[in-house]
Amino acid sequence: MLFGLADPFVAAAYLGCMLMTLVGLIYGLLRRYTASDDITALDRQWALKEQEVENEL
Amino acid sequence: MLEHAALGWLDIIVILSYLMITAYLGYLGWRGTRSAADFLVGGRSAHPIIMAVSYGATFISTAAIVGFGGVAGLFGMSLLWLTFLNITVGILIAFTLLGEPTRRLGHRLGAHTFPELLGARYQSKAIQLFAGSLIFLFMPLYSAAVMTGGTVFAAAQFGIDFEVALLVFAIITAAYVIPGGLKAVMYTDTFQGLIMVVAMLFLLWVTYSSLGGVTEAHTKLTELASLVPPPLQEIGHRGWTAMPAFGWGDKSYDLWWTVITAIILGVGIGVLAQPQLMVRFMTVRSRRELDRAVPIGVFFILLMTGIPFTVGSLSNAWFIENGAIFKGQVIKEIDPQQHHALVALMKQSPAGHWTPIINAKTNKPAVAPLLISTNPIIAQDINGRSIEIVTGRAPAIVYAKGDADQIIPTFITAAMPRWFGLVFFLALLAAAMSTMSSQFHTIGTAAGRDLYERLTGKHHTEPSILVMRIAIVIGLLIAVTISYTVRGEVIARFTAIFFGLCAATFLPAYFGGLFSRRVTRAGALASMTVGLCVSLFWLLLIKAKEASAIGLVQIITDGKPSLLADYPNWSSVDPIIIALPLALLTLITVSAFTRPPEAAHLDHCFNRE
Repeated sequence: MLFGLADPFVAAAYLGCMLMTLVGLIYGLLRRYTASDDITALDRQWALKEQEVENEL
Repeated sequence: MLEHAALGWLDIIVILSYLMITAYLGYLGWRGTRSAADFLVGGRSAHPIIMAVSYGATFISTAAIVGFGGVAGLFGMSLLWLTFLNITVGILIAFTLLGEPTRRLGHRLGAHTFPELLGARYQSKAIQLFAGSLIFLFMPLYSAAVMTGGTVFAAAQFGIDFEVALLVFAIITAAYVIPGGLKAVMYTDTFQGLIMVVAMLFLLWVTYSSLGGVTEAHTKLTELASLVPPPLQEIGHRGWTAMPAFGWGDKSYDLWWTVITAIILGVGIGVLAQPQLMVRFMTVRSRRELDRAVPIGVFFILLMTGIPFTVGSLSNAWFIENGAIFKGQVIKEIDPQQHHALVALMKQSPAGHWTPIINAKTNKPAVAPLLISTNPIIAQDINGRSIEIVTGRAPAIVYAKGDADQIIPTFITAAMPRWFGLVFFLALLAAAMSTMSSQFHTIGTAAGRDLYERLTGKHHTEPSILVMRIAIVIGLLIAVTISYTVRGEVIARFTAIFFGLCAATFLPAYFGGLFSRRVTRAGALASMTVGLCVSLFWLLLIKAKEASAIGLVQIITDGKPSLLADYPNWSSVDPIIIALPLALLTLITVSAFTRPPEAAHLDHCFNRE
C-alpha cells in the first residue's frame, strides 16, 4: 500500500499528479532562457488593437 | 453547526474589504499598464507568476473546488486522474504545444477571439458565426455552474437561503464584470489566485492533521469501503480509495463509465478547447513567457484541483470520526467486525417515541450506512412497540443530505474554524470572479465581435460595444435563471457538458488549423457540425442523467431515461467518447475530398511568405 492507498490505479494518480508537477517545474527551469523573447511588429500591432477594444469596453 | 451559520458584521467587513481591494486593483488596471495587452504594447514582460496564476485563476473556478470536490466526496480519489489530466493536458500540453502556435496564428491573422481565430484561419464567416453562436448559447450553462458553486457555499457558511445567496452573488458578479472586470486585469486575477492558494494549503494541512497524517488518513478512508451507500455499490463504487469496477455490459460498471468518460476525459480533454483560455495565449508576449509560466501553472493546478478532490474524499473519514451523531434502527449488518450497518434513521418525538426521518428527495424513510458507536438501547416506536436504537456516524454524502454539491460546504462548515470558512468563501469568490469575468467577456465578444460585426460588417463601432454589453447582461440573467431553477448536483454536470461540447465541436478544427495545411474550410465546418450535433443528440436522447432531466427522451420512449436504456452502460457514456472521434473522422474525410486552402493564405498563417 502506497501512502495507504490500496488500489494501484489510485496510487498511480496520486503519485502521477506530483510527478507531472515535477516535470513541469523542471521543464520551466530548463527552458527559462531557451526560447525567443522577441516582440515582432505584428505582435505589437495585435496588442494595440486588443488594447483599443478593451479600452472601448 | 448552527453557530457557524450566521452572517456577522465581521464577515461583512472582511468581504467588503476584499471587494474594495479587488476594485482598487481593477482601477489600477483601468488606469495603467496592467492588462496582458498593455504589457505587450509596452514591450515588457509580465512576471511568470502573474501570467500563470492569472491563467490558472481563469481555468479554476468554484466548479472545480465545490462541484468536483463534492463529486470526489461521493465517488472518491479516482478523481485524481482529472487532476493528472488538468496538469498534463491543461498546462503542460496546452502551454508547450498549443500556446505558441495559437499566439503566432492569432497575431498573424489579427484575431482577438477564439471564433475569429477559427474563422480567419479557415477564411470562413460561417465558422466564426457557428463558433460565436455556440459560445453565446452554451457558455451561460458553465457560468451557472460557477455561480451555483459559490452560492451553495455562501448559503451553508452564512446560514442564509440559497435564493438570497444567489441574489447577492449575482449582484457582486454584475458589479464586477459589467463596469470594470472585463479588462483582463492580470494583477486582480493574481491577487485572487494567491488567496485561493493560501486557502487550499490550509485546508489540506488541517484535513490531513485531523486524520493523523497522510498515510493514516488514506488508510482510514480505505477501511470505510463497506460504508459506500448501496445504490453506489450497485453501479460499481468499491470504496473512496479505489477505482470503480471496470467492464462492459452490466449495470455494475456504470460508475466507471461515468467517472472516466464524463468527468475525467470530458473535462480533462475539454480544457484544450475552452475559448476563454485559448485566447489567453494570444495575449502572451513570447514563447519564453509561456515556458516560464509552466512551473507556476502546474503547481497552481495541483493545489486547486488536487486538494479539493483529496479533501472531498477524505471528508468521509472525517465525518465518520467527528460528524454529528445519527440514531436509528439497524436494518442490515454490513460488517459486524467493523460495526458497519445499514440503519433506518430515526428521531425522538417530544412524547418520547421514535419516528422515521423522511428523505426529502424520495419521500421514503431515510436509510444510511453508519459506523455504529454505541450498544443498542431499547426504546419505543410510535405504535408503542419495542425497538433497538443505535447511534453512529455516516459518510459525507449523508451529512450533505444526498447532494454532492453540498459536501464541501458542509465539510468546511463542520470541520474548519469559523474564520477559515470566511477565508474559504473569499477564495471561492475569487475563483468565481476570475473565471466569470473571462466567461462573460467571452460571451460579450462572441455576441458583439463574432456575431454582430460579422453579420452587419460594422467593425469597432458604438453599436458593437453596446451589443457586447447587452450580451453580457443577457448571459448573466440566463446564468442566474439556470442557477435558480436547476438544483442538486448540477455544478460538475454543467461544467462537464460545456467542456465536452467545446471539445467535440472545436478541438479537431482547432488542432487542424494550428498544425495542418491540408485541413479545408469544408472539413472544419463539417467537423464542427458533426461534433455539436452528435453531442446534442447524445445529451438529449442517450445519456440518461441529462436526457431524463431534459425530458424529451421520456416522451419519445414512453418513460425511459434513454433510448439505449435496455443496453447496459451506454446511457452512462459521455458524448465526448462518440462525438469527438466522429468529428475528427469527419474533418479528415471531408478535407481529403475537398479543395485545399490557397497556398498564399497558408503561407501567411504558417509564416512562409
